Amino acid sequence: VKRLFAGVVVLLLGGCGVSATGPIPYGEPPHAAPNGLAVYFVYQGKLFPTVRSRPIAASAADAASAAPNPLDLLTAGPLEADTAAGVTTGLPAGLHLVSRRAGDDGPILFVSSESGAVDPNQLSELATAQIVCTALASTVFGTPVPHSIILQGKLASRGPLTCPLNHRNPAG
Amino acid sequence: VSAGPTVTEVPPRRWAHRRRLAGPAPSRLLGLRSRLVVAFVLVSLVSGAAVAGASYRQARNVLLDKTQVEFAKRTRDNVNRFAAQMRLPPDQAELEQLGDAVSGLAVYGNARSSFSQPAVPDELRRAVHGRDEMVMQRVQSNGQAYVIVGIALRDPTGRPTGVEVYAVQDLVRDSYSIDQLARSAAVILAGAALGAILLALGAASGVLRPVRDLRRGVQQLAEGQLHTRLRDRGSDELAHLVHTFNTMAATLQRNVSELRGMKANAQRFVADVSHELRTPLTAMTAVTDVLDDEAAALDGDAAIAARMVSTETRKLRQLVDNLIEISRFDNGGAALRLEEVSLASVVQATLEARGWAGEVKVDLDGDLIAEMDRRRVDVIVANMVGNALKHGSPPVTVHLAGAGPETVIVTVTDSGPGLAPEILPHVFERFYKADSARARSDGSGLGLAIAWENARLHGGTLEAGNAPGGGGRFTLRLPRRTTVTGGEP
Repeated sequence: VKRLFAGVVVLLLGGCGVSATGPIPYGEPPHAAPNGLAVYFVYQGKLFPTVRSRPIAASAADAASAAPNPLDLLTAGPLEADTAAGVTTGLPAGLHLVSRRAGDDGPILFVSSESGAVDPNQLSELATAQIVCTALASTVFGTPVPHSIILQGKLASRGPLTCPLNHRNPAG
Repeated sequence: VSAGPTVTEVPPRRWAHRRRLAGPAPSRLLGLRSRLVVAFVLVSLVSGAAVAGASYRQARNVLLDKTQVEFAKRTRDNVNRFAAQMRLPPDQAELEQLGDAVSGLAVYGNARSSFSQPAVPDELRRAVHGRDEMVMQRVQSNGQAYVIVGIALRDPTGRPTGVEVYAVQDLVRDSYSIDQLARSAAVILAGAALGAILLALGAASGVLRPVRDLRRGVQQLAEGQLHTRLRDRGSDELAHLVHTFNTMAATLQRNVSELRGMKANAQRFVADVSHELRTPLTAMTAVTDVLDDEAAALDGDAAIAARMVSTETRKLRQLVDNLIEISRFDNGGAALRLEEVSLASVVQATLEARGWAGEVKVDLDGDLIAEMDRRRVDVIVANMVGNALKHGSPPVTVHLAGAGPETVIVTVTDSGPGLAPEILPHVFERFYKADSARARSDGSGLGLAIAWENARLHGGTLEAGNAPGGGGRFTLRLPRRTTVTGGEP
């Protein structure tokens, strides 16, 4: 009986107050950031999605024409704020990305460079993921957004690729 | 003799002088009362603690839940309000503003707003990262509880922005309310324990009162108050016990009064017979004097017969007188006629009257004055000395001395072989003959019994024993002032 009593006392005293918890999922998050353009960069060696604010436009028409292409934002590289926060890119410098709407083989993204031809298969996994995810998060291929694209260099192509990267058919 | 069974209400708190009969008192610690109290308190504490603990936890969780839900909602509103005007990617100033807006921490990459206390746990960072849900965690920091809500900020289409927000709120008020809950639970528990103690005491006295009554009743019965009865009320086990006790007491009382009645009848019969015999014996004794005178003139067998009749008649007269004396003791008719006497002179007178003065050595304290019945003391001493002369061997010594301020002692010692141990307990019994071969002895067999009764009547004692030297010794102890007069056996 004494042991039971002591147990009750310990339980009571131990259960007193506000205890710490582990992380607990706690409902819907706010979807509140300005409706910007999603661009994928690299942070601590991993794919790091960011959103770029659209420039403030005077009118709706201006907004449409002035809207930057996320692929251009991607190739332009991290901004000052990004660099300050340790956000980097895995893309080689001087890369050009041009989208072509769906053809027979599906949406194609042409990859080229100021310094010459680029083989998409030579791009690092991280760079490939940046390109594919940024392209698939944008409306450069119109709506509805496709779920896979093909990277096309001058001589070689890669894909179709999805975000996150699929590894089932690495060569196309 | 008491008249019929009577129900006695035993007066309480009068048993101090009865302790010697009552045996060891029940231990306070292990008594029924303490055990009941402990059991009641334990039951009330355990059940109270279970109930209070359960409701405490419930109330605490509800309280915390409410605070947390409200906080999460407020945080969501704050983030919505602020983040709509945010420039992305955020620079340091932007992060600081966001952190301020939620009074917490804002993170983009490894840039973070300045916020130090409490530290956001890494496990929360990992849980928030890349999750499309708010994540809540409670932490303890510096003895203070906080709730942190972590959010990976997304744009309206659900795309992650790389910005994370950790809103922080302390739980001071809730902690206080919860402690208050615990305190009031403790107070209620203490009250419940107190109530349990009172209830237990009530229950204990309900059980213990009949037991105590029974105990007192048994004590009274043991002390010889055979008319003791207990009130039996209720119909529980204890009431049955009380009923049985009453039956036992009634049976005991009936049997004892029957025995007493029989004894009284026997005594009355002896008294009646003695008195009836006395009158003719008185006449016959008067005639024996004539016979004695005539016997000298007779010759042969007639003279022997006449003397024998004379002697035996006197003995019979003596026996009847002794029987009457004993009967007076038995029916309480014996009374003391107290006077101040010099004990030495009483003893001397006794010895001289019986013609024993020459046979007996005396050692008497002549200064002893006591208040007693001269005739009865004479009877006692005469029986003691007579017995010593008859059954012991000379020389016989009579010793008289004071023993303290209250008592005088008379011892009569002979020089014979002493009294055998198996005889000692019976010496004062009526008609007890130590030597059965001498059934027709001179004595009536009542002398020592009468002496013993006389000593008792004075409030003294008469004891038989053996002197250290080996002779038989009778010791009479009498109080100098007799307060006990008369008396029933």
